[in-house]
Amino acid sequence: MNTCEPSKVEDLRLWVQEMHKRRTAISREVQVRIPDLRLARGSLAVVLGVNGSGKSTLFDMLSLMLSPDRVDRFDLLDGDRPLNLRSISRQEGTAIRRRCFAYVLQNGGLLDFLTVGENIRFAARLSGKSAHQVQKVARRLEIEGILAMHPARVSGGQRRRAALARALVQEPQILLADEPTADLDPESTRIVIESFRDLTLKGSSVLMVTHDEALVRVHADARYRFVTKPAADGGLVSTLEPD
Amino acid sequence: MPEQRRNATPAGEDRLSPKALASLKAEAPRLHSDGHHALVLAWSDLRYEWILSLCMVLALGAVFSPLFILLGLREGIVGTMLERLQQDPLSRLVMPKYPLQAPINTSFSAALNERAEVTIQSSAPFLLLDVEGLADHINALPSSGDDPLLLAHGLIVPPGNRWVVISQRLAESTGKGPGDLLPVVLERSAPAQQRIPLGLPIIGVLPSSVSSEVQLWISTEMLRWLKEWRRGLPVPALGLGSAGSGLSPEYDGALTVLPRVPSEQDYRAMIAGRGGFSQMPQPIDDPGWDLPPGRQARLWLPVNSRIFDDGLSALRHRHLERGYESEVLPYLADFELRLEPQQEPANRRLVVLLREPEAPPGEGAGAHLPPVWVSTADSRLDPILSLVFASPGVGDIRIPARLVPMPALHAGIVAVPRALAGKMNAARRQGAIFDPTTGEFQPVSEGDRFFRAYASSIDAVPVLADWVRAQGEALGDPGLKAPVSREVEVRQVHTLSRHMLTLYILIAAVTGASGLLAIAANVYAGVQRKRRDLAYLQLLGLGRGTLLLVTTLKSLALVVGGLAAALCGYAVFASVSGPMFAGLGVTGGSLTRLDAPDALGLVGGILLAATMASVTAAATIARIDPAEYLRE
Repeated sequence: MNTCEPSKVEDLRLWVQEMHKRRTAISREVQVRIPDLRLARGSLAVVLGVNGSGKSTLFDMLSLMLSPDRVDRFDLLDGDRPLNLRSISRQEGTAIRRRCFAYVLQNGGLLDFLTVGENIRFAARLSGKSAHQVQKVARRLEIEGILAMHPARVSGGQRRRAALARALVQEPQILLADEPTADLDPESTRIVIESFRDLTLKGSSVLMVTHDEALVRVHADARYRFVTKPAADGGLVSTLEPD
Repeated sequence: MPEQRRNATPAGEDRLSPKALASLKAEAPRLHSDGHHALVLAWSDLRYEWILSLCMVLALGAVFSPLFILLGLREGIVGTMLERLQQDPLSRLVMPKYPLQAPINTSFSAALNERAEVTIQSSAPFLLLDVEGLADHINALPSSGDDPLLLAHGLIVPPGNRWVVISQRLAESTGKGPGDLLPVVLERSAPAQQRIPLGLPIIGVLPSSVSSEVQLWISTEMLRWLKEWRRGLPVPALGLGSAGSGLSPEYDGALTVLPRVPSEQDYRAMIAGRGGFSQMPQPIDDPGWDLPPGRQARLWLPVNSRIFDDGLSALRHRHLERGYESEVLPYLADFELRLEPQQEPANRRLVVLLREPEAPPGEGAGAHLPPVWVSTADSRLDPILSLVFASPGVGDIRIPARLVPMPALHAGIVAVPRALAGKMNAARRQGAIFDPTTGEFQPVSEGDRFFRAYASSIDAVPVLADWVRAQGEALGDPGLKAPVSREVEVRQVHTLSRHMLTLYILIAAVTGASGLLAIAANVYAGVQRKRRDLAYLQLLGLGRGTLLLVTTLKSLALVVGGLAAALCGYAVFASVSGPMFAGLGVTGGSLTRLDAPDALGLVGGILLAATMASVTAAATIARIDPAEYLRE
């Protein structure tokens, strides 16, 4: 049950309607459908689904890296201005990603040739944010000791927290997280979720893609799930439904 | 990713407006430029993979080094050769091989001046002078105040013609230098031996690189004065009077008439080490008159093409020393003259008789005239006639004579007394006028028969030499047909330069293509290897243009490193190879030479080509689907 599905447009951060994408997965065609997805300001929304249900496809489309086959509404509400993202150029998408979005990927998403600290500072500068709070964020996420190390030399959990630090420093409007707690120990998971919460308290919205049902039950403000059914043409249809 | 999202846009619905986009960008007050980001990312990546970067730098250095070395070799070898030619004024000199057959006229002089930068005309190519205290004659060459040879060594000629420049060896031989007087001695032997001292102020010394011989340079006017004084003409400018006696007899060879011809061994003994003659005498069948019975004639031709009366006597003594009795008489080679009033045959050959008969005294108006012996077959000629022949630069000379028939003479042959024949022969060779009252030939100024022409540059030397050659063909002058110059050397250096340039271009093309392919391959491989990082960077908000810039900057940084390594390689080569060849004198100590403009040009060309190769290979970024590689 979604506890915080906004009904007013001004409470929304992101609103997607009838976003469709056809993908091929393990020799079968899957049509991914998002009839209605609303992300409220300052909320943590979670998307659940089994492997291959379309979670990553949704992630890529929302981050403007993948074009949907069809979308009736794709609005990013930036303050009082709704930005229609249905038909934008590559350059416009780049500018919006830089300014409005931050990302935490399952494998971290850090650049191997920069140190952890350089990764975080680079993202801050790219977003036009100050790099002064890097130390503070690093301390909070307990990664101060690895700032001078390259990502290849730190653990998976440390990489995930470093990616989270990078996202926090960017102070995004929307944070997209793809399986951010996968393979993490409980302590690291706690730190990640607490950070998400802190971010939402500041007005940012978090959309997390995961299959960790226990995490969802406790922390999510809104829940969605991909439900997969056979299609008439022999393929599959995976539809995002409120959970 | 498509440029535009593939979705239907309902009519009236707004897209993201430029104003909104600009507003987005404006909200980031401390955004560094994407160029700065590209630099930081490129440098960070190179530093992270420093071992790979170093390997690539060294590999590029190995590829580029030969280009610099070959360019340096070409500029060093050819450049040094060209520089030597360009700096030496004598490289631009064109002059006739022999003195001209006719004096230089105004039109030829004007045409030559148009084509040469500096022309020095003189009466002779050189003059042999004596200097007090030195045993050998000294070669005196004509020069002038605008002679590039003197100007190149900073020598300024004073007004007037009393000056001399000497060679380093002459300076050492005499112990004289600038400011001293060179004690020149003028000498002539006709009509009597004369030796007159002439001190010439030395204004400079030319180094041994100009001439390693004992040599001096004087003004063209001074050379003409000294030459004419020797010929017997007065030189008022030097206060020197004429010889007074006119031309002395000279002959082209000697005939020996003897009953018993010496053996070859005897002839060799007469020639060897004696001077005057270097060839064996040849039999002559028709001297122009009947040989006495039992006599044979042999023709002797001298080394320097002229023989005088004392030489004839000396030849007789050589025969006597070997036990041969020989009559020696002068020989004139191909001396043809006309008789006036005109008679057939038009031209007759002048000879000297073995024994000149007592000519009967002339009668009447011809009493004082010299006899001219002719064949009795020509006795129908007028008793008083003129002998007509050409004197160079003067025209026809007419000598009145009285006819004396002589049976022994062959048809078409005339003979005059040997002294007159000798003087006529001298007048045939040099300009002279005949004074019928004295019966003597007085020399006249011969005009300029030689020139030293300096082309404006070494590249103009072949052109000037070709023109002189063409003039020689047109005028039939052997001295002009084969001009003396360093034309061959200039052409050889230019040919060498062209060939080396062709070789260099070929090698550079192959090397350059290899290098550029290596660069492009490296960039392409880098893009493929880094596609996950490139996907992350796009996710973070860097555009494809910036990513292209990052990749290209990385590649160019490696190329710059490779160029630096190549230049170091060149420096090592130059420092090792230079001393190896310095002592050989082949290149003047500069085997390789790489001037800054040449080096910068090559560097610029490589960077430009590398940029194009890098950008071309980096453009494959456009084919990377970032969504595909985010989770790699």
